[in-house]
Amino acid sequence: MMRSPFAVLAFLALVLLTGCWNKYELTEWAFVQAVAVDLTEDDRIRLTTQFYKPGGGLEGAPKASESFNIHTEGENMSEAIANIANEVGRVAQWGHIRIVLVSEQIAKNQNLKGILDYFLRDHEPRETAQFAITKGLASDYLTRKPYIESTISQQLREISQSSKRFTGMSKKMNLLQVAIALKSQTGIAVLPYMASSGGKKDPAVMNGVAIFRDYSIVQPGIPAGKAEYLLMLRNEYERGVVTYPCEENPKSKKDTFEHVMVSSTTKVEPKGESVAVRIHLLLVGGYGELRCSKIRKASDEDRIKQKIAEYVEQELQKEISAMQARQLDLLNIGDALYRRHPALWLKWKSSWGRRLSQATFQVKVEIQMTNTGLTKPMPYGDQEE
Amino acid sequence: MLAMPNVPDAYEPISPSLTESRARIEAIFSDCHDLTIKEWSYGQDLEYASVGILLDTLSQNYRITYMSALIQDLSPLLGALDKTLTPDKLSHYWEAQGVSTHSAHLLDSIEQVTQSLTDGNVVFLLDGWDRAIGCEMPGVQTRSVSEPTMEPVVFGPHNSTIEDLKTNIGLLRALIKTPKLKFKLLHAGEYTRRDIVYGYLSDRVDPEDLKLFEQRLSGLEDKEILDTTYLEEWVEESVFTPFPQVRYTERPDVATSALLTGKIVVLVQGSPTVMICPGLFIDFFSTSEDYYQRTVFSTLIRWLRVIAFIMATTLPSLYVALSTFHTELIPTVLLLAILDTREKIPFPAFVEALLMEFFFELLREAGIRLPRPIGSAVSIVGALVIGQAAIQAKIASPIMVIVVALTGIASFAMPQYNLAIALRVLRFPLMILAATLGGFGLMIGYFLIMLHLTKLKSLSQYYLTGFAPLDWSRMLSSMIFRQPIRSMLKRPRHGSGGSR
Repeated sequence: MMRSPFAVLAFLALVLLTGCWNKYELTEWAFVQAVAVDLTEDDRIRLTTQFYKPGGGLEGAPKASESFNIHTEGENMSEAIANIANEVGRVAQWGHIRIVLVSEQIAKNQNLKGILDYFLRDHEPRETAQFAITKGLASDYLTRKPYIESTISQQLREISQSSKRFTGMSKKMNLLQVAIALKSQTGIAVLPYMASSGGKKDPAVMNGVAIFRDYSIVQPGIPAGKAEYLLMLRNEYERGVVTYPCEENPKSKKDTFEHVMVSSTTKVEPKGESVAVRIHLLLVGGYGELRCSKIRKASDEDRIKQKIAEYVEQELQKEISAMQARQLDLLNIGDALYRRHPALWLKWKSSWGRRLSQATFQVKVEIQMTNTGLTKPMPYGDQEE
Repeated sequence: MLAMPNVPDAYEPISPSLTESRARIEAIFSDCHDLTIKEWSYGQDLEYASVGILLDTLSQNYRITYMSALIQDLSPLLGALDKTLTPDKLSHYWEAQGVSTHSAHLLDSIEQVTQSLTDGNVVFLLDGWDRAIGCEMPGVQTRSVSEPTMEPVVFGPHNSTIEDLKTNIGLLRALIKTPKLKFKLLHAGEYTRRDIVYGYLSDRVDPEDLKLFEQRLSGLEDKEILDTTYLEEWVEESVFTPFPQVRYTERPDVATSALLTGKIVVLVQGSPTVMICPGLFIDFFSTSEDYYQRTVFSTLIRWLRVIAFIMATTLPSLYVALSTFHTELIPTVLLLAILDTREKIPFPAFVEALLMEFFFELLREAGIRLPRPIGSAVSIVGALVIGQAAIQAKIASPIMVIVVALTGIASFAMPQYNLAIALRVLRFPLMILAATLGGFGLMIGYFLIMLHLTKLKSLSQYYLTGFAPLDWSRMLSSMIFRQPIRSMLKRPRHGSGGSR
């Protein structure tokens, strides 16, 4: 049998030469949950890495802390990360990172480029890790106590998810989406922004969006209340509420329209030295809360829909005007133009900010009412006349 | 059909002298306390002597009046023969006319006499006659036809084969009423002289299968075959593969359906096990009950079995590969939960898995061999040791216990016990591959198994028939779905394969 020694040889080669020896037991890893990137006073990178601390407790014994933070510094990301091994004593495993936080301070001077380069280049961290710019020191956000989740990292990830899905207050982006957004033609990117209402113990919330131009942050960003309308225009809005003033008593009484689906279509056409932009926004939903409006017949409903549409249009127009005033293409209209008219875009690229401020915007809002919530579409407790 | 033994090569004539023959037989059966010799006389003045010889342990219900019954055969022909009966008349008649009643046969030599005796017959010798008559007797008690213990079903027939070959063949004959159902007889063993019968439907069986089968089964004359399962090694192509190439059953309905699909069944005297060959891979995923229940349900159950098959082979190795090489592939929340339970375990995942699998196999083996009243003690100790104490003592993690338990349950879900054994054997090399090479190793393992299976043959059929060579209709109808019976019976069954 000539074949069997050959088979043995082949098998040995398979086992010994394939180089599949990078084996680690679960107990040899330290799993990175989140990383916060800050700037030190001497312009070095200060990294706060949160690791999961396995309980090892069974029988439901309460666990003290499920995570711990390691602070390291370095000239760049790699150096700061290399220093982690000195402290932890286990191999850091970046495959399960939940969120990457980058502070406003370090987001200046194109520092984001280097940070993203590390995360995209290294094979371990996932590009699907969530990303957020933080107000103040990013490391502070990792010292808070989670409510329900076992680590604050997981909670921050969940926040970015839920605020996008249910409130429309901010965006949700992962590292790959951030990397793509930053490379837009206009050089302008709108990234999720996280803030806390005050001290270190106060809860962290997603609060509007941060604006980037050429990899550096542009101040000020857009706070939560206004970000809604920007995100509607960008078609990045899922669901939320529109609270509009009543007719009789606009100051104190307000009704709410709760939409479950929002979609916008933007059409960009070059017109003269600038562009004409037509935006059609569709809001589908029902009454969330009624304090004054009474709907008795079909025409009443049409009137209210008209009122909501007008109110939303007005808010959208405010956003657009503010954007034109700042000459910041927050709607990535430049990219739309580039896709349709690349030659024209190349000519206009350098003067885009000025041209944008001259662009004409036509916004149309359509409301679709799906339900009234109660059988009587009028404020609860009001008598029918 | 069965009782007449093959003629031994040596030939020693029977002496016409009764005393001589009797002494000769007594000498052959010396030190056999159960040899019983009854003397009997006949003729007008009872002047002629004869003896009935038997082994009374084999013929428990013997009545020596068999001799009278034999003689009464002659009465209509010879008239009042009690008075005029002489040995000459008797021998003349029997030799000329043969023996008509009571499955009796004429014996010519001492060898035939001894063989007839050990087969459980009563042998009658007459003084002055150089031949003998052997009469069949009700033999050793066997249990009666009862519920199948190995393959219980909810619906469908509830009878099972027993240790008596004739009864078993009768059960099959009663279900397939055609002369095309052939049963051929072989004898094996110098001492046990076991009756081996193989049956097939002459127009359904693949002639090539049959030829190969007969060829492989030749030369069993001097092999002591104690059970049907012994024959597996003669029938199969490869002895060292873990995969079974024949199926076993103790249900006449399963054997019937196998015969209808062109399989060969093998029965051995003294064993209730019926061997069905060739056994193809897809055959091991179906049970008779699949056809007694609703199509949709049976189809879902088949999917369950396929999943169970994959689980039983790979779950521990998959766990080892994922936790030591590909932690990225485990969903984060699950990973953190696993981390919590793994943290204080001193062993690597592979050793942990090996240890728990070993415990499990140990328990299973201990449970099978123990007498039934003590058996439950094993399961209690096992549940405590593996389930509870091992976790508390930090020898194994709960997730590992789940993995091992699921693997065990999955292997119990295999309808054929011998396939489950194959999976037990395969699990360990796969675990070693997973521990050294991770997912890559697992892939190599599967690859080798697939290569092996595609090469394997059961009789003249490829083991993976349905998959390789690919036959969509067969694969879909016998493995992935359970075809509705009406459409299954509309067209002729597959030559061999589509089983139930």
